Amino acid sequence: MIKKYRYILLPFVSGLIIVLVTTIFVLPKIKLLVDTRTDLRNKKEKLSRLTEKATLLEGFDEYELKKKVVVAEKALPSKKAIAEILVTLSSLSSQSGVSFVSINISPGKLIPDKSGKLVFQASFKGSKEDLKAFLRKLDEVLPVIGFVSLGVKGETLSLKIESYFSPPPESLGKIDVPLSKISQLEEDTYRKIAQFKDFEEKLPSVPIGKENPFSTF
Amino acid sequence: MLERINLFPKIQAIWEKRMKMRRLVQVVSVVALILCFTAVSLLLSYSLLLTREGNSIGKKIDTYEGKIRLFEPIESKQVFLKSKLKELAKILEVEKKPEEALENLDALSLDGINFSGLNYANGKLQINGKARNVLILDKFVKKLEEEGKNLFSQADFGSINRVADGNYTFNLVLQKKNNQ
Repeated sequence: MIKKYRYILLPFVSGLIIVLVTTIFVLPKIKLLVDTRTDLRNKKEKLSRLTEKATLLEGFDEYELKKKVVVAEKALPSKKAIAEILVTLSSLSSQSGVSFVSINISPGKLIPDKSGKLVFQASFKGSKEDLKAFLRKLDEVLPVIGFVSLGVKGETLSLKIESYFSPPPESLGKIDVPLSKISQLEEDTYRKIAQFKDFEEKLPSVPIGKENPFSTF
Repeated sequence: MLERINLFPKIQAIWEKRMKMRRLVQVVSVVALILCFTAVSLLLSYSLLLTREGNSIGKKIDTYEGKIRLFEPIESKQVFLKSKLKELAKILEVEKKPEEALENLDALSLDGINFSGLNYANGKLQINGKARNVLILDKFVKKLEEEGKNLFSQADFGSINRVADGNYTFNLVLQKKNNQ
């Protein structure tokens, strides 16, 4: 019987082996290879992003960057810069020959969790020319100030201004995320604010704490 | 010489054909098997190659990630700077120049006209003033028509009142042109 069908044994066994090898090994392996190739392509893209990022980071001048960060932080503080605004208004008014009459602020939460504005209402007294000079200078100070409204009655100037604050970003994001580049507009903005007058160095350093907290000043 | 006598030539031809067919089937089977194993070995080699390349890229990625982690302080400064400058650009985009409100007032001033109050918000200038008499008020209106059109897109008198001393008080609302 075996002898009779011996001639079909080899093709049958070969066919069986081919079918088995194809289903058990070749097809899963091809699927795996396709996945590996996709994975490899993703890895190559990631590597190219990382290489580019590392090259960019290597090229940074840390000192220059630090200087820019300090200026940007002064222009747009991470917290509500009440003292800085008061010092700026007071210094600028005395510089322009204008007297600082009053100020009204409602700061609310001191440590903000998102960007926002802090509105101030202040009044100043002076001649029209001095007030004009004061307003011109106020447009170019650190922290950056925005004008909401302005009122003039006689020699009194009432201003409603807003100062801005923006907490720093919470995370850097994924490591292979491309480095955020500074656009031309942002570069121009930096150049502009770098020219603005900073009165912060005039902020006096006061001793903190006292023996009896209930004693008078 | 003894010659072979073929008694069943047709049967022999069929038999030979069948034998050839069997041999062909066997050869094809062997060739198919060889091809199958060649394909398997090619697949294995290719897979090995991809794995090795993957490992090599993986190592490079680890190296660069380590390098980038060393630069984290610089990266955080850059991200910080970017976020600040982005917001500052938006803030500074709107140039308000409040001193222009006072300069505009100067441009409109006239002998006999006294401005008692001014309010300025969102490009809108609200002026309260007093004119000594109707002729000066008329002169002021003409000046506003001639010179004011370069500065303002709109000018509305809210009110004009004659008061007891013969003076005229007025309330004027001016809308600055967009390009200013």
